[in-house]
Amino acid sequence: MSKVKMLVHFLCALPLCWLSLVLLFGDDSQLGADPIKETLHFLGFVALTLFMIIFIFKLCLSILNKNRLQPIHQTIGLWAFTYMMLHVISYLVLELGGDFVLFVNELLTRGYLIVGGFAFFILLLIVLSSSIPYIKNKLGKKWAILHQLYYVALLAAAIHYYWSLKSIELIAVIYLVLVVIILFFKIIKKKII
Amino acid sequence: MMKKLTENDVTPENIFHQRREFIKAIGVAGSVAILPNLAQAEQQDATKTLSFTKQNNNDQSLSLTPENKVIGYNNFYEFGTDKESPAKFASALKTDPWTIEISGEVENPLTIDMQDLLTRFPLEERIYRFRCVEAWSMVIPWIGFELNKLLALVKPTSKARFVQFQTIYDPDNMPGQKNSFFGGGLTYPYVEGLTIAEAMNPLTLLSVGLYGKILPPQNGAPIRLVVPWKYGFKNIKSINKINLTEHQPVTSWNQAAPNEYGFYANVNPQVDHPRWSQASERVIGSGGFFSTKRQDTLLFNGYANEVAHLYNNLDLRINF
Repeated sequence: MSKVKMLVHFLCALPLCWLSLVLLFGDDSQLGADPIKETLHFLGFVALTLFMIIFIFKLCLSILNKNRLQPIHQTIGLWAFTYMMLHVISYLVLELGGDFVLFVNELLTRGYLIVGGFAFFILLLIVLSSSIPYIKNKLGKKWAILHQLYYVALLAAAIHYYWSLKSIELIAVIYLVLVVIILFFKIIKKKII
Repeated sequence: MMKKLTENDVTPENIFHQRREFIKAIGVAGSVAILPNLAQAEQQDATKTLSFTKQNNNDQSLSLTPENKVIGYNNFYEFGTDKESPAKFASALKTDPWTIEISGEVENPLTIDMQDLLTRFPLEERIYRFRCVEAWSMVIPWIGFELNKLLALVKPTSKARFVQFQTIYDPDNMPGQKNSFFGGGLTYPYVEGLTIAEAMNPLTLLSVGLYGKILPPQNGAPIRLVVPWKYGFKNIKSINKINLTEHQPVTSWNQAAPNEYGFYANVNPQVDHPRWSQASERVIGSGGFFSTKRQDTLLFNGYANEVAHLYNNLDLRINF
């Protein structure tokens, strides 16, 4: 493993380490009066942030022509996916108390959850198809097309974040605007990315 | 020498002392703000105490939310949208002097000083369930008096069908009113309203304290509304204007998102918020991460016996 890759692993693991330490050894007050909601949001926020970093990173690499660093985003991507899984699992287990029927019901009826679930589904497909060589070979060219859906998933995730909030919040707006800018680059300068 | 009348001669003794204590408390709170290192600690807790009648018919099944969570986890968008923001920033709120102006459809319009108000109405403790529209809940020992007592003082006219409340507008000290992002995009000043029947209901409280002490600024000092069968956002904080009206008044959250927040906003497990279920709620109690409970939400937050009759002719799905 290259040193860069190790550094990436280390950085991506930091938020999870912090959260685990607080939950296991910290006192309640560190996560406020509603630690479950805080945990849920924290995991989702880190996941979305990492997904954004991937795309910004990718964009920079293309512009600087340093494409040999490309494998780094696979590493970040796996971490982002891990946080997203934890986000979804904590919603099911902590927020809904493991009520799977309610989970499916909410996922299919609430607008921001439909959008979030859609992002989750695409990203799950991408990770599965990339990690399992058999599927990757089988998909052939379609694999690349599937990966283009990344951008749709990112947009869906940013909308999910914005929509989930009770009122307008600056960070959610910034994220949404950033995603739109990324998509703009993607559409206008297709060759770069 | 002629004997001068003192306040002691015209005010019942217990209320007189209560009033002195409140003035003292406000005084100390003020000096604490100016000289944080000098006045604090020993004095603070003792003098912030209010005299009040303890609630004697407490529902034994209710266990109180710890005080640090009641005063550390607040929605008061004038001081930021994070739950922790009001506790950090609300000390900027100037609560002394404070007057409340009562106007509109009343026979005796009145502008009353906060201290004067406290001499008129004996305070009592009410332990109420508190249910936020975001699907979490607390149990809070409020101290206050029934709103109907204040309304009796101003005598609503026959045209008075609604009561509108307004939070103080002070953008210099309330950053959320100044900056739209900080204040969550609401229109300020914050306004709320009740029907006259809701306002006259004995459960409806004007609160000046909690946990035996005067209200901390983040909880809506010096005076706020408590309507325990409605979602938390109806419980408007730091009120300085009350207006009785013939027509249904504008209310802040209803104005911001009319499809999500109705005028009535009665707690109702059968009527979902468009974005989440209201069937159950997370209890903010003494437990931490690993011992947090979720419980079923009760119709009218458990106060159906007291208030259900107010809505006999109303479709609660339409009038959510």
